[in-house]
Amino acid sequence: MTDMNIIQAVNSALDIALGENEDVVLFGEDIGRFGGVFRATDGLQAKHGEERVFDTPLSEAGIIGTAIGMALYGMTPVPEIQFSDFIYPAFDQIVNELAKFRYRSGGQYPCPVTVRTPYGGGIRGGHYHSQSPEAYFAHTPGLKVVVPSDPYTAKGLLLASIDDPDPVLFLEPKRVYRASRADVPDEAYRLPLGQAVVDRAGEHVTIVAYGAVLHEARRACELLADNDISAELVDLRSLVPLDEETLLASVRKTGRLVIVHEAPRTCGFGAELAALVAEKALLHLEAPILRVTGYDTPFPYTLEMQYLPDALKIFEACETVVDF
Amino acid sequence: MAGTTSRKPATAVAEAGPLSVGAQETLYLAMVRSRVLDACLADLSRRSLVGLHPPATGHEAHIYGALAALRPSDWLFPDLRMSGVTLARGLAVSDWARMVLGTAAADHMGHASSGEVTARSLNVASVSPLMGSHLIQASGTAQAMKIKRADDVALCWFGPGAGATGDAHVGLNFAAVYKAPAIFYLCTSGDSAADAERLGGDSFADRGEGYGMPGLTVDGSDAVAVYEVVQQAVSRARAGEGPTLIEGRTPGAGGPDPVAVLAARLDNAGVDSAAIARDASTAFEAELRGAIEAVQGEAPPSTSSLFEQVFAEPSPQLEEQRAGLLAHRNRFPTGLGDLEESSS
Repeated sequence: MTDMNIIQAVNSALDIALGENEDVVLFGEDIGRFGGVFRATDGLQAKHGEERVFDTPLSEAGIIGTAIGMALYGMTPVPEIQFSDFIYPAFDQIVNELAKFRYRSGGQYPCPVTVRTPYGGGIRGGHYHSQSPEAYFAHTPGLKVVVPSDPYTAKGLLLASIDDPDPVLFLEPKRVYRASRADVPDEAYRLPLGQAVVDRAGEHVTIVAYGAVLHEARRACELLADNDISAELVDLRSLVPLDEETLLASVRKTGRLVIVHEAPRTCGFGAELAALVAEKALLHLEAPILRVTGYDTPFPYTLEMQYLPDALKIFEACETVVDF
Repeated sequence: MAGTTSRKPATAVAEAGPLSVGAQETLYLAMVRSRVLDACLADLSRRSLVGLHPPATGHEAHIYGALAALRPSDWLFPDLRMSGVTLARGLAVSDWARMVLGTAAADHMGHASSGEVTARSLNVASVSPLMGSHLIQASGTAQAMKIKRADDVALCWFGPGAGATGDAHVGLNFAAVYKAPAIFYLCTSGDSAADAERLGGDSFADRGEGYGMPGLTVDGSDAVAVYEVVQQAVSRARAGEGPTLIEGRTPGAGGPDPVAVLAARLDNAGVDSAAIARDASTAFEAELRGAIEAVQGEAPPSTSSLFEQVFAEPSPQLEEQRAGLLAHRNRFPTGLGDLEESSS
């Protein structure tokens, strides 16, 4: 066990993957010599060589297209998109190519590519270093979407994603890259994709979250406890595939649901979760499902802390459904 | 693209040995078969049995001349008009027909449209009708070959439409940066006015110099010339010297026909090309018709297969959707008529 932050956990996972499988290659903008703008790949080029850990020209379509070409040939690429805000020039390669190669070839061409990218706000990054694009990709058949929240899940989910025979978009919560620390096993371990966990058990209301806002939801649980409301917190960990059962079991128990994500509200992943609960647990609900999300605005600069979901907003929403 | 002269004519740079007469016969056979394939596809299209599958006519030198310079371990990134490369690489005609017609036993399970013939076992990539994206992928495959010390090359054919995309620029640049063993082969359309509306400048091949790779131009009516230029690019790639850009100029309407040009070469060498063409056409047409008729009698993909190969293992959501569709189809096996029957 070593006390690590998320960056160190990601670095440890990548180091293990490179050591275990000679077909694993890492590449992206400034990830090689420099070690990544967040240092996630620090030291890996020196250790594993310039052919397996390398810098690319500034072109996200180039990074993902290259990853696809390598995966077709049998390699296991783990490309990095420096900020998830920069992923859109690669949208066609991800949505129309990466996610469809297996299907359109009838399984002849699997595309085991893990696209790592930091997402989310709260770092004074402005419009183009703060967005949360998960809903676009969760809407794409053939693509898995995984979101760790802390060092333990980051390492275990990243190794599972790299092992997975299908493409994975791995969204790293950059706001807590360094703030979130935990004891993490030094050796390899995998956390299964498509398995949510009850992060904290409770009775009166279920809060479902993923990624950086999980930490705000934990704080909200404490605020609620101080006010005699017992909240259960579910960490989804992966959006695709989705662990419906863990979420539905919690809602059946508490009868109330508050959904938290920092992406904009309209057509956000929360809408999918709300529809799911309406379809499968309607008669267990004691109150309307509420969403605490980013707003339907571009990501703001000066007012980002007002834009983001926080513990107090989550507290207020939980109070509303409990008092309904 | 309208220029009639090239600063870098293929004949001036070809270093590879000449194609033997026997190899030219093999090449000619493939081109003759390609014409039969086009006629067959046109017939299937008239009968609404296939969707988008543009013909290879006029492009035979680009396709089969280039293929003759490669070995089976080299990878192909074709475009939609080139499904015949799978047959030239050894795909059984019945397997080709299954994919074109989209039957249950098709290697792509009927998930792809009729021009998207895919053969992983023959190193033929899945074709994307979205033009340009495959230039980057070909660069990536070539880079992987280099990393794995494979001594193979990736050949990517594309048209003027793809040449105009941002992905074409990115693919050429990435391949140049990594000195990837890739060959980018532009097939002009044969309509120089139309091409001039897509690509600026007189020569696409000249752009190679800007990327730091040779840019070669070749007469697309001469399959042997195409072979020689691609052979040169292959030698360069295998030697670790990186990618090459080739512009194959497709003859326009009224220009020389690639099949006839090679026939004349063979005739000059004392080979009876007409006899080869006659025999090959008759035999291949019969084989093709037989395979298509047989495959037309095969089962279409099952409803259940709609949900297969989205992922290696279907997610719980996909399994639930599959069960839902099967239950719905079970209740209404023939469609609306079942509803009217049950409500009357």
